[in-house]
Amino acid sequence: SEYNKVLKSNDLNYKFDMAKKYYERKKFNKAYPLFDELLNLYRGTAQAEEVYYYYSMNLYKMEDNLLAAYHFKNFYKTFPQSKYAEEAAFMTGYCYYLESPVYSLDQAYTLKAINELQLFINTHPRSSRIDQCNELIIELRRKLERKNFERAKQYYTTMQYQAAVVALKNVLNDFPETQFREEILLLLLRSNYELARFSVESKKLQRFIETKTACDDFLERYPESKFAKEAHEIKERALSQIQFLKENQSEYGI
Amino acid sequence: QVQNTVEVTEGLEYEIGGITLAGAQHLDYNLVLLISGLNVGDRIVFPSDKITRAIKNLWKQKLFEDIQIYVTGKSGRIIYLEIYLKDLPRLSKYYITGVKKSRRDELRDEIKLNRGNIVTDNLIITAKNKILKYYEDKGYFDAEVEVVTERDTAENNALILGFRIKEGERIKIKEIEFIGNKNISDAKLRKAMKETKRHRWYNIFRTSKYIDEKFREDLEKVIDKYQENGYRDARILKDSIYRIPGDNFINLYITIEEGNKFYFRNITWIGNTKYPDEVLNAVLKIKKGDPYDAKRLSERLYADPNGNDVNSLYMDNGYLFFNLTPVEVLIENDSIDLEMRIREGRQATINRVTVNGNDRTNDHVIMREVRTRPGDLFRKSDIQRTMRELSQLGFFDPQQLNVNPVPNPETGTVDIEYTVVERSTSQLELQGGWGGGLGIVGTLGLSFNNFSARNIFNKKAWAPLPSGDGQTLNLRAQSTGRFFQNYSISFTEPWLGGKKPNSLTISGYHSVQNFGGRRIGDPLRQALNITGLTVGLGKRLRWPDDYFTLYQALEFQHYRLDNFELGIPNFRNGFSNNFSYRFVLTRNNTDVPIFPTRGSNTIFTLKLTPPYSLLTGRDYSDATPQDKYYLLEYYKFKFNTTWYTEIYKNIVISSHAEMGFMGTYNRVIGLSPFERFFVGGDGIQNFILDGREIIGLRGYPNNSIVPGATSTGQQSQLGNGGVLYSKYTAELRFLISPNPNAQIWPLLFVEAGNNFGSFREYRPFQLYRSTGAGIRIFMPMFGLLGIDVGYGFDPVPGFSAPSGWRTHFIIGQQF
Repeated sequence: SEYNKVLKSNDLNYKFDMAKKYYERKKFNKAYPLFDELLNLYRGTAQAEEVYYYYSMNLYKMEDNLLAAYHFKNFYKTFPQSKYAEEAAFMTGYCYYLESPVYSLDQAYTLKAINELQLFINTHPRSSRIDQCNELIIELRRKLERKNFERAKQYYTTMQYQAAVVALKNVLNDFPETQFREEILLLLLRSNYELARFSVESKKLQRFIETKTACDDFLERYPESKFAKEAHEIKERALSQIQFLKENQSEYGI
Repeated sequence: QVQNTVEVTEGLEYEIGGITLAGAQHLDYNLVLLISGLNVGDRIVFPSDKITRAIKNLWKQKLFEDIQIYVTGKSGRIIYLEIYLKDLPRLSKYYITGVKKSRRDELRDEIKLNRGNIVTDNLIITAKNKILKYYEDKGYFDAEVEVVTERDTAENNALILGFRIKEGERIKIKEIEFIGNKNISDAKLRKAMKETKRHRWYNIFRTSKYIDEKFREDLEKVIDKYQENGYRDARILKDSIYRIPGDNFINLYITIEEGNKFYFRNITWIGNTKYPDEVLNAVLKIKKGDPYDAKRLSERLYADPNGNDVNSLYMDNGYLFFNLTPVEVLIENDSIDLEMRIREGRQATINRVTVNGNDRTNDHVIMREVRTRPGDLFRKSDIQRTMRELSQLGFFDPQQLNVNPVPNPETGTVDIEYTVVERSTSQLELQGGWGGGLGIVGTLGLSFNNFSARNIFNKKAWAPLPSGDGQTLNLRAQSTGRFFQNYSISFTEPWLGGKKPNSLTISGYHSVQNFGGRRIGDPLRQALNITGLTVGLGKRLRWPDDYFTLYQALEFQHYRLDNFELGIPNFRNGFSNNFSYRFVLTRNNTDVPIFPTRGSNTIFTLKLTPPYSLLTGRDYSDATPQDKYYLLEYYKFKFNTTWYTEIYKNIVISSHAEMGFMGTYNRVIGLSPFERFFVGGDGIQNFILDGREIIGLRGYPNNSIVPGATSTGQQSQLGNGGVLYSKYTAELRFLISPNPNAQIWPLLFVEAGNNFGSFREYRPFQLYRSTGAGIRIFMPMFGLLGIDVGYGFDPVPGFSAPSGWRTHFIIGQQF
């Protein structure tokens, strides 16, 4: 067949032309072995740059995103002056973006994608791809935010209220602009209340005071929320507990 | 070097007017210039370090075997240079001769040469050394490699490499001799060497090849052995290898200097405020006068396998920043005084808990098993328990589970990162064929242990199956053509609702038994169809203690008899419905699942149907069997308990007792013909018959002990099977291979049991007795396999001679 003839040919230029033809005809699986071989044979020559670019693009088209990301990165490091360098720099981040899984799985590639895309923005401030990069980064950051939030929320669901309080506060610290703020503040006041209710006597007062503060935080920010009524109720209960505990405290002179 | 074909004057400054390239083709001119650092327009004074540097830089590319720079022309102060480069040859192909095909493939993997590699001396030597190393690791010390190179005429500047190998014979160790050991015997020292062994015919599992690296490690172990016994200065003076002439054997000689034996004397603690000296000494378990064993000391301080060391004592109480250094403060004659210097630090609380590496399993499945939670005091034991429970999930490679606590001394907190590596959790069982006249014969079994039901309709999640929610899905189809077919499906969600570890199991099955294999519609067809459906809820209890679990289920079975003999008079055609509630209370505090050494496992089961006849008040005295069995009614108790006691290391006695009883609500209807007990044999619930329960009793044939088998001389009113049984077993087990990949234990047993047709017939001491021996092998891939040979002392019902010797094959845990 034609393909076998190309594979066996010793004419490098012919091989390269055919490889590009297969690439354009979307026969990426056929193009791949050719580019792979040419990569070795063209090493150190003028054609090396173009072959490497095609090789990397071919990997991306074959959806081998991780390998493609590696080679795109290697490409723009090796040929920083190439006309393809900007595209390769972007594609490095984009390939990692494609590999970024659902929020509940390991986010190593999400972090890599954010790093690479940010690097692209820093090094190509005039690129036409900047807007797209920013959008991708926001999407990836949202994913990390969701991951942290869901993990903290799970402590609330499984009734680990102390863990929920610590973890929810961490989410607020790590993602000050979080889209989940209302829910976090709500879960915080609920967790604080549950934690205070089932505490040993010596820790109750402190924890009900924290519950009251959490209610205030929520109500100040979301006075119109549909959970405002619940927050008011919990605040009332916390206040009466605080009063009761304070009275007893003075009685026993603690 | 610079060859002056054109005269240049030293010390005079020239300008480079042009540079040309000669020799190697295909090279990019600009790239070569870039590497060389020479540019047109550069000013240059001879002798020039610029030229030297250019040559050096080009050499560094490792692409050329010859590099020269000439001055080719001069006009006034302008000179012209030429860079001559000769390419190194590239590898076009290589071959290996003198070895087997399989080994050739292994070697190819080992040396990793590719077409297009640039052939340098280094490349050839590296490849050769890799081959020699490969053979050395296999014990072939005489292996020789000759490398031949030839030009590949088909390609420009390409080489073919040939590796001609002479493997020689494998060298084995004949003797290992120790010189200078007075206090520890040769045999003990040889035993301490784990990987270096003598060649002996009885050592069938151990190779006696010599691997230098392993031998060095084993020498360390010999020293360890001495240090364990107080010889803390022991060392190897010399080791030598002697090749026995004309033979493929070597002898190893190891010369040892033992040194003196030392003992612990006074141990003092400094800096401990949390625990007093007595507590620390009790944990340390080292007394004055014990032989000085540095390994034991460090184990007692930091690394007790059961977590009973001094370090763990602190680590389990939040003292993450704890630090302990033992210092030898005084050595007098053969006695050593130790000072334990402690810095306790502050207690750390956990801040963030994360997990990495879960490519398939969702966070929530892992995090719900994690016992280190934000806000808790740091405890080493919580981490260890978490690691154990994560590995028990079965979704991750236990060897690669990892935890990394990141302390933050400023805030007194610690972040804990778990790292997991996913492994395949699905199993496929497929066997089958075309049985002559039977149709398709075989089994298809699929089990998915990390399934995700909510992603069934998510196309993207099918890679290859929706996974990651920790659910279990089992599918199974079994067929011996038209004679027997069984289909089953079951699904388990271990954390229903995500709030608590309450499990939900839904399962269904359908089976067809067909005597004679006749087709549907054939008037002579004899078949029994059973369809079942179960919905169960499991719950871990906290009360009375947290070893209890409760399982409740609703079960439904539908039996259809098609001219089928079950031993029930006048009930060969018809159907029966069995709608029941099952209540199972289990207490299991055994230490490990496969070979428990302590603890007990007790199961109480109650299974009952609604008392329809009492509710409706209908008189059944004239009812047909079809009417009586339209809705089955019965209640059934079972009690099952096993206790494990370790009497010596790895020798365990297991004592077991069980009994079961089935009763009826309505005497007129009588006892259910289904759901009965059958005692005897291997106890394997092979295929579902009439919902019968099979109870193993070794030394007797399968299902042989049933009441009234021939006792009345007429067809038994009770069908087959008993309604009251009891059974007692004592077993002595000896774990000879504790390796978790293949646990092996032989066993001796005594057993007794009986099965009765009614409560009135029950005679507690009238038992069928047996004794025997067997062996079990547990391998994670195959589960538990075993064989038992038992002798039954009593005659099986209907016979007069003792049951005698019986062999039983065991699959899964029956006894």
